[in-house]
Amino acid sequence: MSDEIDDRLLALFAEAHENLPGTEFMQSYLARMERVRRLQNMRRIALGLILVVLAAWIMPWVLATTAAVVHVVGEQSRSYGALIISPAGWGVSMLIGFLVLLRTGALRRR
Amino acid sequence: MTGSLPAGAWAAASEISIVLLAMNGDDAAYGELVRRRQGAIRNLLRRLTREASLADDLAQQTFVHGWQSIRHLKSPGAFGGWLRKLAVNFWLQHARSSKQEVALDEDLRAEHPAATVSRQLDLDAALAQLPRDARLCIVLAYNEGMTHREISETTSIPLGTVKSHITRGSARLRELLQAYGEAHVR
Repeated sequence: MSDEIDDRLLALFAEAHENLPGTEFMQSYLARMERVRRLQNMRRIALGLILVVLAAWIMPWVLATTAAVVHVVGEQSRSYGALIISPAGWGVSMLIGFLVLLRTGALRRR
Repeated sequence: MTGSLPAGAWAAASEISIVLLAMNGDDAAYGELVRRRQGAIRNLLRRLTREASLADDLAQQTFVHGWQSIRHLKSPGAFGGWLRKLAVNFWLQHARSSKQEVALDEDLRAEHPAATVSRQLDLDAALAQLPRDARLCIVLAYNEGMTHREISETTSIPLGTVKSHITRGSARLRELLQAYGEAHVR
């Protein structure tokens, strides 16, 4: 079944359709856009400042924790230190690096 | 502001290519879309709100929101319908928040002597007498030329309800317009 449409009302709506001049509308639209952009920039700056303050605030804790972790890892891996800096260690490292490059497709010809 | 086309070239460019540019963050392209669509969106909102300044304000909100979210548009061809849906949503939001829904144009009639009351004023006043959803369906059907199914998809009103709003709304509109002296409408 087709949609029910009254031709007389359709004509009335068509008559009521206005050709609205856009100049004034565009001017106030552009002014509004400018305000929105300014607000967005201010929001970004505010967010950046909050992040900087937050980073400065938690930095001592991050540094202390990192130092502790490094210390623990250093203690644990002391016995492997000599192995890592030996020629065999270099060889294994290069092999692992090569496999990673192969896996990520970095060696593929474009 | 970025501008990927020379100023004179916009007029010749197809809307789809302009939408694509706008989707990629070209502000000048989006400005051109606003220039092209402002008349249609403002007319739609004028039929819905009956108030030119409110309609223009909602149209601007629509275009600003469109600029912020055009990257999420699924396909450039859907731009017109998407923008219309945004406009309808802004109007619905406004209508829900303001309680002054139905107040016939006694004030408007007082401002405009009977002899100069235009057909447009009569139509807008008669539309204002319809319940919100019925008015929306009628305006989308007659002003925008949308099918019942499209109206249902745009407004999320069930298809059967859209049909009933349009049938009853059209009848009521004819009655109201007749009461305003629009004899030729009958």
